[in-house]
This record gives sequence, C-alpha cells and structure tokens, in this order.
Amino acid sequence: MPPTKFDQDLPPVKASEITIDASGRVIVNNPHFTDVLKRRLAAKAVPKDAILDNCDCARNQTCKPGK
Amino acid sequence: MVPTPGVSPDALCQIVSDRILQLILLPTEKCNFRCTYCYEDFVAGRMLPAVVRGIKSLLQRRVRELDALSLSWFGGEPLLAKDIVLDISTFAAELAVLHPQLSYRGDITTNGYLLEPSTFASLTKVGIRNYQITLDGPRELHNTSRLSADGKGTFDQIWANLLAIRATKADVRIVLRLHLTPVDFLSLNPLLTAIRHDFLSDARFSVNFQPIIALGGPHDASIKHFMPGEREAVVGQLKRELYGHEPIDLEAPPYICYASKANSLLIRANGAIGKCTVALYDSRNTIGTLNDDGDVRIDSSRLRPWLRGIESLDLEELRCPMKGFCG
Repeated sequence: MPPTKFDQDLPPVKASEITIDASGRVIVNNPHFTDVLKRRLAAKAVPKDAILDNCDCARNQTCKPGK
Repeated sequence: MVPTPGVSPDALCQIVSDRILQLILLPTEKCNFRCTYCYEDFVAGRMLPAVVRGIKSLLQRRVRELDALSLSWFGGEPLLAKDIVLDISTFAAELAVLHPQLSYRGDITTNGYLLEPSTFASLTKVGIRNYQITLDGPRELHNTSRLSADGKGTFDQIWANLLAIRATKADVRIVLRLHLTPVDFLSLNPLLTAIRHDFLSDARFSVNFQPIIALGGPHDASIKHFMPGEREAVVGQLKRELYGHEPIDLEAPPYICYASKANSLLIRANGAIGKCTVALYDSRNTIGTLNDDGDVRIDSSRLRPWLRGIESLDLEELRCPMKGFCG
C-alpha cells in the first residue's frame, strides 16, 4: 500500500529522528516537528481522555491475543 | 473511488507525544491455561522485584510531565501474579491522586478464571477498568481448547465470574473475545444465545469476534484459517445472530498497533523491553532493558524498525509493524 496522503500541518518525521531517553521519554530530533507537536498539545488538540477511551481494548480492535 | 482514510494529526500526536505513556506489563509469563493454539512457552516466571521497583521508579520520574498513563496487563496469565498487578496499579493510582493533571487507566487481558468477585473489586479499586476475556464457544467447545494446565475445562468458572461482574455496579468495560475457526463457528449459537440473554442488556459488556490464527506456537500447523473474505462474512452472520441485526459500525479511525507507537513499551517479567506482545521470542522484539532505578536503556537501532510507520504513514505498517519487518 502506498504511503497515505499527509494533508496536515505536522511535518514528516523520520523513524531515525525518534529516540527514547533514559526516562522512557520520546525524543523527536526534528525541531520543526516538535514545535508543531507542542503547539497542538498545548492547544489541547489532543484530548487526553480520548487517548484512553481509544485504547486498543475499548475499540475492540486489539491485536493482543486472548488470554 | 472512496479515498483511503489516512492518519489524522491527532493520532500522530498521540503516538509520539512525550506526555503520554503506555506500559504493557507482563507480571508473569506463566499461565494456568494450556490453550491448544497458544504461542507462548511459559518459561519466564514472575516479574523480578527489581523490575517492579524499576517500573515504580519510572512512573515516579515521569508523572509530573504526563497527561495520560495507561497500564496494560498481559502475560502469561497476569492474575497469577495478582499481588504485582495490585502493587504497581496501587502505586499508579496514588500518583494520579497526587497529580490531578494525569489521566490514569488500567486494562487487563485475562483468561478470567481467577477473576472472582474479590479480585475484581480489588482491580477496579486501583483503576483497572477495561477487561478482555476470551471464550472459545459454548461449554463443550470451549472446554476442548481452553484447558487448564491440569487439563480440565474452564468454562463454568469463567462464566460464573462474568455473572458476578454483571451483578456489580462497577464502572468497567468487559470485552468478551469470541474465538472462531472455519470448522467451529457454526457451533457458536448456544453461546451467542447465552450472551444475549445474560450480558447484552448490560452496556458494559461487548463482544469481539476474532479468528484463531497461527502466532508461532507448537500447534500452528493444525490451525485452520479462514479463506480471504470468508472471515468478514462469518463475523457478519454471527453478529446478526447475536444482535438480531448486523450493527452499523461507526467509521473508526485507522487502527494503529501499540507496537507502532513511540510512547508504548512492553516490559517483560525479566525487565527486557520490547514492542510486540506476540513476537515474544523474536530477538528483534528486544529493544532494551529497564533498570531497577527506573532507567530505560533503549537501543535506537532496534527501536527504529518498529517506528517506520510513523515515517511512512503506511496504514499496513502502522497496523502491524512486525509484517515486513527487516530491522
């Protein structure tokens, strides 16, 4: 499948620009991307409850096999 | 032509944000079941005390900067290490009280056998609100494949525990995962009738039909798979039988696997850090370790292939980064 159209203000980011530091914190070494990301988060564009409500389990789409 | 839905900016923010953390925790990799299709080897035992300390230290270290924390319990059977589940969940729930900006929620994938009322009450008290419990069919069918480690049927105990949950007023969501095979799906009717009778009027319960698939276990060769397109037709038929009609699925955003998310880590019982809960014995799924002081040591070259969907925005790579994995 070809890459999806990316029609938004978040600039592209490379996997090689993403690391995880000693505190388990995601670090994106792409200033343009992180600036936009912080702006969106600060503007509460990403409601935190939606994050949890959309967890894999709640969406019935988990690929975690049944225990 | 209907355009393929893409990845929304919100979704992308959610999976790279450093203000969100999902930890998938394996408090034990032992299991009290021996499902005939299981892919796990049960070699690793209980989570080491140093790993428990490490998880708590990590949470303590991060809590001030987090908006959302999700602890997902998996295994093995996580309730075989209930004390660890409660210990870490209690710690997280107390942190959430002290840091009101934090939304914390727990979920658990359990076989349900040990989920008796007192355990369920303890789990809900510490924030575990989402439960995935699997049935393979009505009693006789379920008891041929979801066997206890000593070879006994497990259906009656699980069903009793589900009925006990229904009798509570707990604010939870229970996903009943119903397994299908091309051979057995026609035998599910008695179970669907029982679920409709006992649970469907309770909005906390829902049903998720999933085929049994080969995931790397010793019995993979004997697992029969649906033909392309057959699964969707069968699931549609079963939904009509369960609900009396096929529910209209609201358009959901594309599924992004937790393994594709930069802020989701799997922490195994021995402190190894991975991404995927299926490829447990694939060396590419070990990307680092957790130290007992909460230090996370990630090998970026091992992490990178799991995150390639964030770069490509390819929905297939985001849905399952293990497919086509070449890292």
